[in-house]
Amino acid sequence: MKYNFFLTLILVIFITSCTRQHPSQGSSFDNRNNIFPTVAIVKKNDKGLFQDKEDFFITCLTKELREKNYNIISDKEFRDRAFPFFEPDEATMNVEPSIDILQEKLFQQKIKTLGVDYIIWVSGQTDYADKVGAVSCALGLQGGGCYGYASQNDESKIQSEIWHVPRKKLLGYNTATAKGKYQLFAFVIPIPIPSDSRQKSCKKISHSIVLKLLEN
Amino acid sequence: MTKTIGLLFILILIIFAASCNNQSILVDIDVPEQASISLEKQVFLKITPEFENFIYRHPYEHSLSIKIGAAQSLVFKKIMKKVFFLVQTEEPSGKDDSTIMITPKLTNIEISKPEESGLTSYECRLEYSMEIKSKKYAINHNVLAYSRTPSNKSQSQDVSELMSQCLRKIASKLEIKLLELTSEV
Repeated sequence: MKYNFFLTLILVIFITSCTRQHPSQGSSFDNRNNIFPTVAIVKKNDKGLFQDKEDFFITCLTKELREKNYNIISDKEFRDRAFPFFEPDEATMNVEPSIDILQEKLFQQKIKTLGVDYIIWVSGQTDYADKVGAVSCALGLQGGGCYGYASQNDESKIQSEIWHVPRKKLLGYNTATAKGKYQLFAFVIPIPIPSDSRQKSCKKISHSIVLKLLEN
Repeated sequence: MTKTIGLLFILILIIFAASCNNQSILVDIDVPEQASISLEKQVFLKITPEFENFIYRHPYEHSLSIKIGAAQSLVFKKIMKKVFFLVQTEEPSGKDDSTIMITPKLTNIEISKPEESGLTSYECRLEYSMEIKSKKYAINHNVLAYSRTPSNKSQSQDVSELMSQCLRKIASKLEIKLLELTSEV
């Protein structure tokens, strides 16, 4: 009797967890609110050989602007919807399309159906200074542990470029810089304290982007 | 008996390892499905068997081979169908003067591994020439794409992703160029 009850309970947990595994497949296009502006956040690819892989800024900015009720279209979704335009062309010097693309008739036809009000290009990077301090760990028969202190300063920079799509106009550039410190204390167990420079720079830039969007 | 089974097991293992080594990398197509402008023109897309079955082999590392033929044929078919109203891939029986014939040809393919370039990424360079012929018009157009992808998974996954990106760029340039060109043809 008890065994059957547990079996049913496990089955119920299993089914509910399975159903939660499949979130709604609808795109942000289908779920948008028409009262608020629609913003495409697009990751600006570097011209350099070593591309930065930091998607943190994109994720963070998306979250910040969504909280302020903007309809956000992600990089992948926007590039897919705007295809064949907005494909980074690394074979030439112009890696990403310039604002002139908004004047292109074929692109205008495409963008009309998308209903995008703003395109925000985002790029960012974090520079790390040398590590200071040391943490040493030891393991013996009686047990083990770590002792010491280490830290590393860092600086996050985030840049954005805002295009007003219906007016085919560049609204401006924004830059935000924030410094932070990663710290690791160790007294028996190591306690890491991550740097908040990326989060701070993201908050700063989202604030200035919102102000710029409200001005226009 | 045990010896025979052991030998057979080793033989199977060797065959398996050898077949894995020479397995060609398959390429996924990442070309969005969104409908494009359908031009009221008939097109005969001439895809040769060499083009459709093309397998790239790395000049120095022969175990690195990529089955790009099927993927590149699919990209061309997909883009043509997006741009034109009627696309035939079989040679038309009757001669129709209004049909535009398009013959794609892969003219250059280069893949470089991080070990070769000294970078941290795989690189690809693809170049196609497209012969576009109509009753009163004939043009050869080249489409070039370059792409790179950081090496962070297995070689086959990285190369597959790289080729997929490269073909997406080819598809994008092809679509834009066709829309421009066909207004003249």
